[in-house]
Amino acid sequence: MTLIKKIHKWASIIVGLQVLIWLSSGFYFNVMDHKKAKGTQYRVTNTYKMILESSKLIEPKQALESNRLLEKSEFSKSSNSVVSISLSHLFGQPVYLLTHEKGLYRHFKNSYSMADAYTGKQITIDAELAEKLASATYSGPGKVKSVTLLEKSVDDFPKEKNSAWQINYADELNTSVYIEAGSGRLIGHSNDDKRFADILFMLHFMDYASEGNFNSIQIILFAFITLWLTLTGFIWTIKLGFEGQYQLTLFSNKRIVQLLDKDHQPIGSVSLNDKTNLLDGLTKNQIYIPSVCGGGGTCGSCRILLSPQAKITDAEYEKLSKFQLEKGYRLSCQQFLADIESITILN
Amino acid sequence: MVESLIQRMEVRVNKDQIQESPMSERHVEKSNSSLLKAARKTHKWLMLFLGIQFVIWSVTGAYMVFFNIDYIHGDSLIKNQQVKLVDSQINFSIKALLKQYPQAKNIQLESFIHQAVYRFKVGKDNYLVSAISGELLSPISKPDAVALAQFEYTGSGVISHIELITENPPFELRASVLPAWRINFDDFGAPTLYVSATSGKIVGKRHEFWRLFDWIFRFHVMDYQDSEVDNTLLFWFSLLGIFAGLSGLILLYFRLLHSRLLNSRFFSKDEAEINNDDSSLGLKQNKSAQK
Ligand code: FES
Repeated sequence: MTLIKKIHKWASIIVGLQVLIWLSSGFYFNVMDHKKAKGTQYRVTNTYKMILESSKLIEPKQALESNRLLEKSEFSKSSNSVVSISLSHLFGQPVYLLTHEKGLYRHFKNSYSMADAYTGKQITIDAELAEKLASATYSGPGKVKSVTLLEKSVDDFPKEKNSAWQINYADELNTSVYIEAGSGRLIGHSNDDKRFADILFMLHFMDYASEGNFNSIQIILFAFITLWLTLTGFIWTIKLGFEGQYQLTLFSNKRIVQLLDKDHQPIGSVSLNDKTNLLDGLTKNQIYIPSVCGGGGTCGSCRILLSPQAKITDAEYEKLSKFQLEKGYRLSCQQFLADIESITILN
Repeated sequence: MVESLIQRMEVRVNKDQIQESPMSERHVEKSNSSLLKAARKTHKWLMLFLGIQFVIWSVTGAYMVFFNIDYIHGDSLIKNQQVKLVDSQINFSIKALLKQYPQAKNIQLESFIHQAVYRFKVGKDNYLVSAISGELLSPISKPDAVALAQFEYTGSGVISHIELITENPPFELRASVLPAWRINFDDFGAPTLYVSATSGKIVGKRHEFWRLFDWIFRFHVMDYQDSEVDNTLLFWFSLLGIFAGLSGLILLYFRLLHSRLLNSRFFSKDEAEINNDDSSLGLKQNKSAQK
């Protein structure tokens, strides 16, 4: 049991504050406005529909060929292979979206190029196009404040691994809209509500590097230690139960007990109930026994003298010497009325 | 020496024996100790009811952080093959396709295993058409589904079970992707790949660790009735949990701060040990001896 308590203490020294952060942020997730936390306050669906004149379409095969020519003529960055050609559109105008490298998910690394589906002309999503695409999904009152290409990472969407255009709007929520630079896909909207929730997620997941996951080394370590904290606490609680520390005073019986001072002279009597420990019982009678741990059985300062026959708890084995135990010394926070006749107060 | 120790060891007994306590420090100690006792009580009683949930939180939380989330999502089950489109395979023109399926939406020229295909939607239905011949390939046959699963699967590929699911999908499969082939592999973690019978794409991948993860998550957020994170149960447990945690921290604070005080003020353990035979036990004799 000593070991259990030690582990409990040390584990709580290390993870105690984080446990409180976990609890508070968890509570916040429970009560927060889930709609707001999504950051989609001003998000609407892009309502453009593709207007297709199939007679004007070039064949995907042609798009494939011109892509090959293009890749050859230019200083080729990626391989000229194409794994997928999809017929899509920009503001109703048909385009072919060529996928050169297909990630397992859309937010994983992908590589695209785009061509006009009537002329085969290359299209790149530049700042102007990105802004137009963003505004087609934005219903708020703000004007566009800035348009920036983020090539490395998107703070508001840490999982996104593709470069993206960030379009900032001047509204009261500081809305930002993100458009994937390669495909023109809407990555999402973010605003101050979402950013606040994200901070709490970051704290809950201990994801200080904003990697968008909860597998960082620090959280693994803390989770491991927390396991020890809760399991030792669990064992401790069960132990307390067996020691009779969980009893309802509702059904208690009271009994008068003699008090003796350290010279074994009677100094009065008190009425104690049999469901509270002696430390608390005496305190209720304005008899203050010193206690540093508040009745945890860990400080050993609440000593009293009962009789050598009084039962001995683990805490007492640990905090009192064999000699003291034989003499009848006990910890008042661990003892109950039982068949005690008199208590010797040691000061 | 002992005298002063005893004096400090607190002190007031009973109304008849009230001693004046000149030190204001004592009052501080008193309020401190009542905070301490309140914290002890709060922690002890709250944890009686919340303790089991704290264990559940920490065990489920540990599971979720120990396993890499990409692994949980079965990313390692899939090769994510990048099959290049080859000109020679693309004989069926998109114009012909649109003539045959004028309502086609989301048209994509891709591959099914090594064969170039068109994938598209008409209304809610998926279609798979060969780009070589224009022949309608969907719904795909069992051998085709198996071939695709084996083409994409990273493991050994011994199949333990194949089944076409057309209705009542299992918990782990979205109803919108039906009909789908379920292909179970006889490997560690009992992996399953789901192949859409209409689009000929992998539409789901699962293994036991993910299936367990789903349950683990529900236990973590106390979602016992499909009500997600904002359920009342979690509200009360996390709210009371905050108090339980806070009282625990107060206890820790006293334990750390006052164990020092304790050692210097009352007795160090060694001292108590040394004094065993006389002073600390036989207070009476000791006191007279001191006198
Ligand atoms: S009060 Fe600390 S051991 Fe009893």
